[in-house]
Amino acid sequence: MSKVFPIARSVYTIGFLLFFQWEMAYAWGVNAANCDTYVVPAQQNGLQFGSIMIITSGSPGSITVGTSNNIISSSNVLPVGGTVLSASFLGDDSGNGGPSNPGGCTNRSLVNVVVSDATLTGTGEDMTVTGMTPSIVSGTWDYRTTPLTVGGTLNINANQLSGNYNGTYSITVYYQ
Amino acid sequence: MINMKHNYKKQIVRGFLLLAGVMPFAIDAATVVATVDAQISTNATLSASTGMVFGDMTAGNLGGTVVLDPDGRRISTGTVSLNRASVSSPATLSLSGTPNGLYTIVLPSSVVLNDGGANNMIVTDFRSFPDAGGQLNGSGVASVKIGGTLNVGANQGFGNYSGSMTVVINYF
Repeated sequence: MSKVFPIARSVYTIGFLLFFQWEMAYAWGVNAANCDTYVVPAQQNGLQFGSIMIITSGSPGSITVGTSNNIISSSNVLPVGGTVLSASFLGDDSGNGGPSNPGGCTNRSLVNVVVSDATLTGTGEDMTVTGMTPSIVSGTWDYRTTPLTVGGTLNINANQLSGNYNGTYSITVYYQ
Repeated sequence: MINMKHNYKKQIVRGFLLLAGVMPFAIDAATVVATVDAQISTNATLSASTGMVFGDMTAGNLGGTVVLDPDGRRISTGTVSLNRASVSSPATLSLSGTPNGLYTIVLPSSVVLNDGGANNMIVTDFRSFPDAGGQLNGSGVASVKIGGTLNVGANQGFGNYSGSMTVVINYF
């Protein structure tokens, strides 16, 4: 009995102090690590590969757009204009305990960002976008001002028919 | 004594609950669906439907020029006289590619025609219609007409003269 009491008291005291500290931070809304803002990625612009000309139609090709709106490599294709953009996301905290609310904050600490592959459909055979690369995967994300960008590689089939292709993919942000 | 043990247990449970409440390991996640777009253009093709034909003419003692417009009109200068009954035509190029694709035309500065022997004539001042470039139609095709100026020497030797020209189409 005499051993159980100090242990119980210590656990209770530590728990109370930490809870008090958390509650204070919650009330002031200044502790980014402990804030409770729920953030949903909101697409600012989609991933766009622009207009691409296939040099040798009987051979496959690829083109990679980086996270800075730049074409960083291509094979058997020639970028010939159009809009080339990496995907861009900010965080949407509307209605989810944003910075104006108790416990809200303007940044969150990213743990991981997972981006799926995409399949593009259009006038011809489906194409895939693989190697999706987010610009941030960990650390503080000032989700209101700093875009999280995503690049990827478009894989073009041999004898790909001309035309417009589009598709979707999912992006999941894990944060604390 | 029993009540005290019960209180200890309650305090321990409360403590752990409070600790769990402040654990910073809780991870939130949010997923959205995003979009991706691309436009594929097939390689453009260029073919010559007809070559440039200046037709029959006589040079005369001073020579001159034969000006062939992209629209097919033909005039002569100097002592060159045209045989109006002979066939003449601008060059016609057929271009195909992505519907509504843009292109520019780069014409040669000069082309030498030869009669198969020692006599030459030079074609200069190439002109095209469209002038410098254009846009493929909704079916992805376009036609380019090209004319030029044939420089005929004084007493130019009789014969058939021919040559080849290189036209570059930049396709976007």
